[in-house]
Amino acid sequence: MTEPVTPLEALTMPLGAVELPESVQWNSPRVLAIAALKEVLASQKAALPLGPSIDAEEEGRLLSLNRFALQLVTTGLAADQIAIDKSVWMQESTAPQLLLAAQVDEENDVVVFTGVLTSAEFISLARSANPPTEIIIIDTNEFKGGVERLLTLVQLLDPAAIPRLPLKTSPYKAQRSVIAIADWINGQIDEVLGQSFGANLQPLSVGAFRTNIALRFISLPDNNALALVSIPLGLADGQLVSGLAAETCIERFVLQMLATGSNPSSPDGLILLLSASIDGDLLPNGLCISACQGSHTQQQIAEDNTKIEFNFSGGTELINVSLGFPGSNDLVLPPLQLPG
Amino acid sequence: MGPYQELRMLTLQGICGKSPATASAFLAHERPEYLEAEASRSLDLGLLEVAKSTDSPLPLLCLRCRLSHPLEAWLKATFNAHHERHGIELKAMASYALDDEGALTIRRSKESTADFTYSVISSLPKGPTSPFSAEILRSFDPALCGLPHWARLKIQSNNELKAYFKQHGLLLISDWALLRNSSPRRVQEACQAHLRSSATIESLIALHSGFKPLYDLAKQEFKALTGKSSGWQPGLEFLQQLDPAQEPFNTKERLLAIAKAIRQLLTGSANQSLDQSLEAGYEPVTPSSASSDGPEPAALKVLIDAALERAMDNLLPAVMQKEAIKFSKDEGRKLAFELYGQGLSQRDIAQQVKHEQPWVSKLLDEKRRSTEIAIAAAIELKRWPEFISCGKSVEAAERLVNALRNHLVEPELEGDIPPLRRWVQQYINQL
Repeated sequence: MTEPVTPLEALTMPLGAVELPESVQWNSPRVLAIAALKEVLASQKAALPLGPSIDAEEEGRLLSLNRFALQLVTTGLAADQIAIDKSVWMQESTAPQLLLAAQVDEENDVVVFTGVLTSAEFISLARSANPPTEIIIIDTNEFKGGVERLLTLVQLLDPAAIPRLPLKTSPYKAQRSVIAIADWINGQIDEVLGQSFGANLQPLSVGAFRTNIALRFISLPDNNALALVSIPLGLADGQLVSGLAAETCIERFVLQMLATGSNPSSPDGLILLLSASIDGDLLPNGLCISACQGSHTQQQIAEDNTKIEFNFSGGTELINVSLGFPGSNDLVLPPLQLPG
Repeated sequence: MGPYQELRMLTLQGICGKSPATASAFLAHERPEYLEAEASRSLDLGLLEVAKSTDSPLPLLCLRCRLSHPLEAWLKATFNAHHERHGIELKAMASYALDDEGALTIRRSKESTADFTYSVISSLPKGPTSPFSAEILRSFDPALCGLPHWARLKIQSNNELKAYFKQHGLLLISDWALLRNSSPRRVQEACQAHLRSSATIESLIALHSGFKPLYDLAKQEFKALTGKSSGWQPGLEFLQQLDPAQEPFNTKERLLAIAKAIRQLLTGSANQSLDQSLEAGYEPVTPSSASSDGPEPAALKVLIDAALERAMDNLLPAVMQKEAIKFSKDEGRKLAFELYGQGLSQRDIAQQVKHEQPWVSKLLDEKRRSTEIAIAAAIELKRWPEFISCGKSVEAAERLVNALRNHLVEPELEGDIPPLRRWVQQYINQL
């Protein structure tokens, strides 16, 4: 028979715990957490502005710390999970850049800042949790680094380095509406590609442009380039991002999709070219692109490559393109279609 | 000697048993079945009924004896679990809980005393009452839980004991806060591993999930009423609302059983949970390796060392001046910094200054101070092309700060004194 386990009656006060005066009546865990955050900031020599100056204690209100949008979430000191209101994450304009978890012991007036998630880290966790409710539950041990991580990020990083990533209109999510490649010839780009992926369209009506573009594509028949759509891509904290979010990334690359054909009004081919943003740079190793049309599948994982190129010639079957990177959510484009 | 006639109390020699002759005589005459019996709920309730209906202090004295046993058991278990790491003392703990010496009178005010009877303790004004057993007995409602449980709940929320624990780096968490902050997953895991009950796991999880929203409301009301965040206990109404089909007593017992199972689950993991998880994710890297590319490591090292020196010169004097003011109050504080400067481990410092390690750790506050210095140095280094990526990438920023912090507090070669300790040593030598 095994020995009964002695129940743990007291918890060790974690290092870095902020003890607040017991003489004050703290109305809520959030009030305690904000008071503790102010105490931490006051102990720093560098003055870090924390806002808003009024109503910061209001539940759910975003904070601003040194120009970073910060969501403060609280739970109990012994808690194993934390509930996060996802409403602010639904729009890019309101999505926070950082999420700070505070574990609050109201009975002892003690606050422990468990750690921080960046927007990309939160989105990744939230997508895997994917609850139908307004609340996302995350394990407290997903938050890393204590308040030190918060102080590091808000003091060292440019605010643009952490994008505001919305949960709802996800740039990563597959959109099932089919994209007609023929529209590109007429200067039209689908809203999904333009807004969610930050794609740019370049109609190629001038011969000089066509020749210039032709130099980049190995498999392009002479003078057959009709329209070029480029999607800026990047890696933010190991997550694949596109559009504006990619502009501030250190590792940037671009997916170019070139509609080709001998008839200037009707494309009959598509070339995909994945390359680094700067000519000659290497693609991140492990970056994977796959594209399939019917049973014809092409896939390549970058390993010291400067570019990867796939070619599709004709057929009305849908062309499905996706990109992947280890540890990141896949980035899946809406299906593309050549005219019949 | 039965539990109803032996009082566990704090004496100069420690916790000892005392057998009040009056208690034994009372039991022998009035309740002989109690003399050698094991303690039980029915015997507790029998004595309580007698205590309520008489002007004699003796039935209550027997109950005071009775509850001193679970209090002692709680104190000893808590002491055993934490004294090595936190330096708590059993005598000090017992002074808050086992302060009942078995007197037959109780002080009602500064000027007057009265017989230690149930009617007298019930009429005392609300608030802390001495001895602690009077506080337990006057607030005990047998419809809600058993006397040993009640004694444990009361000691868990004893403010003076809480303050004593806090001084030693320990936090008493009530069963209710623990239940509120545990996920269904943790409850399931705890009940499966540690709870032997006729109730199914599903019914316990359902009870727990109903507890949370009701607790939040009740706690809010309690705070509005009392202005306090601790001390809340579920009343009859709360328990009836939580599970109308069950007796409130059973509901509370089940909640307490879940809380106990959670505590058992947390044993062993909690002591290393929060502070160690804060440390997680920091892997040692050298500052030179944190730069993206560029000049030779030697050139980078010059830049890094200069930035760290400037950051320490900028930040540490004010910190140390504040500390130095307290040196006259406790010589151990100065000695701790001296020994830190000489390169001793926190454990060795604690031994020499005759304090516990958490005291040393809190005094030196190495992690917070080294992080602040590392960030200041990193902000300066960011201006150089080799470190420019630290302003643009989360990973690069963290890598640089971790590396700088590591460089500040870890010796490069065995026997070296790391820069932060060296700086402290120089400062102390100049005092």
